[in-house]
Amino acid sequence: MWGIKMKKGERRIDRKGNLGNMTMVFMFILLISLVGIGLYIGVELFFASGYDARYVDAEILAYKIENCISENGVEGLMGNSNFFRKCRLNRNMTEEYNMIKICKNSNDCVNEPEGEFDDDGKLKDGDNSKVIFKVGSNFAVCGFEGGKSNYNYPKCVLRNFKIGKDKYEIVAGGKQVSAREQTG
Amino acid sequence: MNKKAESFGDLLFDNVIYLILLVMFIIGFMYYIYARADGAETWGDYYAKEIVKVINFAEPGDEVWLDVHKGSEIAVKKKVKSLSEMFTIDNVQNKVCVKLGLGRRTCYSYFNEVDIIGWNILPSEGKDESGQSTKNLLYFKVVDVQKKESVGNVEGVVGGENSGGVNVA
Repeated sequence: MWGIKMKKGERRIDRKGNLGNMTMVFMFILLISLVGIGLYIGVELFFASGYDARYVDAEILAYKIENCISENGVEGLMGNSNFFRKCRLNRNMTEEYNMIKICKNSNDCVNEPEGEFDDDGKLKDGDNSKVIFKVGSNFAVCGFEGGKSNYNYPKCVLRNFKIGKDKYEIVAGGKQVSAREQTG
Repeated sequence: MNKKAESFGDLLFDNVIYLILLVMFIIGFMYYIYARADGAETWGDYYAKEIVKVINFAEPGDEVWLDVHKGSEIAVKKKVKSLSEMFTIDNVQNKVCVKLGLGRRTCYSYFNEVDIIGWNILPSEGKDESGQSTKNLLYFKVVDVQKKESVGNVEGVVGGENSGGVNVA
């Protein structure tokens, strides 16, 4: 086979240098693989670019928190147990997929240093930090200019409002990407 | 003539492995493109996120109808027959899963502390000239959190007897 012609009584010796031809199969497989990988990347980029809903998630979260503060006041919302119950937010989902930072009378809530919170998420007595509540960490990424175009950074929304003389700022972030689950 | 025929046969035989590999590659890739071309995963991702957006905004007592006609068409084309497979809302894990093709489903979680009940695909009231419903709608009701277990009902199979006239043509 492979161009080796056998006659009766002839020994099976390839005198035509066909080894080179045979090894071309591997080159061919390599070539097909490269073409396949290129096409696969192209198709995936075209079809699977995804639909980014994180910014909208953050908008809705900030809107709900602002409404919640307006209805309940700030003092009654302090601490995780109060905040999640009164604002009707699921704690597990919010902690896993979102970020929240609420500041009082701060000029730059994103970079405002955080105080110390107790186990329930209440600011410890005597701590005068302007950050009065937070869920999550690393809020600095919300302030990065390049972060807006970087897919790997969470999408953040800043919302300002006043209650009486006090100025409040909410930083809400969304970092959830959809999960693909294998089914039967 | 014979010599020519023999040399052509030799040529074919010499290259048969290349031809087999090439045909296998083309068939495999055509199958892959066909599987992706109708965008089942992309639409699944889109529907999951849009449904979650509506749930996050909703208040207890709201009733929601969403146009899912395009998704149901894709799902039927992809032979996803069970309604419970197409749209799943899990109140325990607060997540919405959409499956419009065989294999994987896309899931997205909502942070609003509510339960979703009565979800089902229903035909719209609007009819076209032939009297067929023009759209398939996903219906669900938003209620206060009841208890942490899966709540919801799946009443029909798309295209089946209990589909309530769902239009999947």
